[in-house]
Amino acid sequence: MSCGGRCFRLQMMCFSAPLFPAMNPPLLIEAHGLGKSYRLYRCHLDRLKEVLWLGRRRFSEEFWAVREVSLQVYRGDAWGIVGANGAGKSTLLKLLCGVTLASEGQFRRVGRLSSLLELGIGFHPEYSGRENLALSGALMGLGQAELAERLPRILEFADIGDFIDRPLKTYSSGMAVRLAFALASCVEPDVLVTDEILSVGDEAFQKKCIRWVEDFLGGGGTLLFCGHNTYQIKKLCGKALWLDRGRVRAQGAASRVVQEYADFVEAQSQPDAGRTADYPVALNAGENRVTEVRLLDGAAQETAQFHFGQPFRARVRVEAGTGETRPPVLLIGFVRADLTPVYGVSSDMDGVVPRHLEGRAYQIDYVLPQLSMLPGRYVFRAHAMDSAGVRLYDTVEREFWVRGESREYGLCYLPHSWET
Amino acid sequence: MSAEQVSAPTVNNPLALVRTAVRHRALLGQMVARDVTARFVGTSLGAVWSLIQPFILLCLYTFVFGVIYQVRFQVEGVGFVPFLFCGLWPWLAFQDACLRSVTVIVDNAQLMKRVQFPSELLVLSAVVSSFLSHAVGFGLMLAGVGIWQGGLSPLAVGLLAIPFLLQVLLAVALGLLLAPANVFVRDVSQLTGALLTVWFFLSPVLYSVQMVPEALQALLAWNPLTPILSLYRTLILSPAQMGWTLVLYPLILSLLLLGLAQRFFAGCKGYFADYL
Repeated sequence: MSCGGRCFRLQMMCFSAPLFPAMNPPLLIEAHGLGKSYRLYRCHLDRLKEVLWLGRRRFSEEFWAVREVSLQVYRGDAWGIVGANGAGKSTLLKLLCGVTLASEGQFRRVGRLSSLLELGIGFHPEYSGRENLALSGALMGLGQAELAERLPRILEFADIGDFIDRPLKTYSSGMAVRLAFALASCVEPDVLVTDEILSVGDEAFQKKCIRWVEDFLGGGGTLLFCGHNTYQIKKLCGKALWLDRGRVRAQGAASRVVQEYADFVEAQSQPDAGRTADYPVALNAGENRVTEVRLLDGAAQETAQFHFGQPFRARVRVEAGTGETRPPVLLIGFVRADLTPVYGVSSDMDGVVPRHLEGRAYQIDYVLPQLSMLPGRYVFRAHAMDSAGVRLYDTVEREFWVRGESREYGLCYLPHSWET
Repeated sequence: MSAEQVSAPTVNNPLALVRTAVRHRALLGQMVARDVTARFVGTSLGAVWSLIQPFILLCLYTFVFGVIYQVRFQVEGVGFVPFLFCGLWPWLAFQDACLRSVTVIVDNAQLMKRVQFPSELLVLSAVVSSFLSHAVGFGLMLAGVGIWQGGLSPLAVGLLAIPFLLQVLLAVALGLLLAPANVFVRDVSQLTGALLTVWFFLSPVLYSVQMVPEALQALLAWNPLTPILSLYRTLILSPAQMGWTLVLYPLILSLLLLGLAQRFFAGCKGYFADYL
């Protein structure tokens, strides 16, 4: 990952608003309880019937693509909108752009909203790149004089050479996209609305696009960005909104919302996950079992919410089976929400033995002085094994969250240093 | 902070359309240029085709009526070819404008769903580009008729702008009514094609009003194209007999229709993106 200093600058910029509330930036878009419904018709004739009945009888079903979305976009904000396919992301962007009218709610906006909803608006394959720029530019609100003045910049950005005067149909798809983005980048909008555009072109051009968006944001531009690429959203956006079946599931700081969304997606992709109940293993009498698992924070309070870098303690009680004469072995493990194993270790590997309480009960604490798992949802597992550490009898799971503002990727923090 | 309420702007002023066109003239210009060339882009002869097609029709009608039916056509002291020409080009331009504007919103569905811009411009551009491309052919034919007849009155040629603008007005009004209707019910474009064929034969293009039985002449007078075509013919063939009262009916009808159409269009435009 090549971020370096740029990452830091962006991060500073993204969080500058809440840090200095005195410098209240102007409100650009305000939406309150925004909703959009579509009518679904079974066939074309139903639509005709409804038109002829002048709406007095319905031949359609109502479908809410977006509902009860409230959003305030200030100058300099970068909002990322995440959600599954069909969650209403594109509809929300269309509403904010004014391409489609809201069915309910209030909506107000100030300034010029250049929609980059999709690139290459009005491009026609038979016309040359230059001719296509003229119409597409006019659609984006560029006059002929403005376009002529910016043409050198567009050509430099697109970097397609002589192809600019050849028909668009002779372009490779990458070249067409480059031309379209180059034009869009010259419109200088107050608010830039994009729908997955940063996932186009080859890698070198993508970097160029991202750099341009970063400069745009650095210069006080406002961005509404929608996509599945949580990496880009975390990198570019300070705020995020998670849409789930048209409704807001979470809204706020991008690192938190994107993390929650990523956890949700992980859990969805693994149907077994998300279950916190104990394994329904039929235990025979006489086998070791886990009777209690408590997750404790640094203040010895039971919780499911932990903080990155803070202490973590799991207190496990095991009951030895009737056939056992020696203390049971405890195996613990961490898995992520999608059941990716993170780490596992057993008490006998480390040469420790659970403390005897009374009767057949034993207790042991598993302690992490500093939680090194990156923010997200995890499951702690405790397995009771026989005293030889060979047979696995019982499993109990506890779900917990690691919170924190982290921009790193992967499962765990790895102790490291940089040398130059 | 100046706030802008984003909703479908209601059009109460009949000049709103003109203002929209003026404010977005750069875009309109680009769209018209695109529309005029779009049909011929990639062909070797290009826009010359828009001149050739009406000319072929003129030859065919002359062949069928003059050679096969041997119709002895002598109205207002002119032959069939100059008579037919005066009506054929204006009719074809009008028909073209209607046929293109009825589908223009549906044809540009991708545009409607992606950007916010005044969609009236699409209808305007379809109408203007149809009339422009036929105006070139009309001008060339007019020059030919001028040579044939031995001179045209420059004043009369200048005054041709009046029936021309009346036709454009009528076509814009119809386009603004038909284009949104076709978004909601796609059958409208097919119906329009059929009705235009009927309209062609019920308009004095291939015949003159005097040839129609008197009982039916009153009916023909309801057709706004009847006075418009008469204006074209009088101005080109016998400018001395010009009667200006002909202007009134099509003008009033077009303005009324335009007012209605603008309201209808403004009411519908917010829903285009949803129905496409």
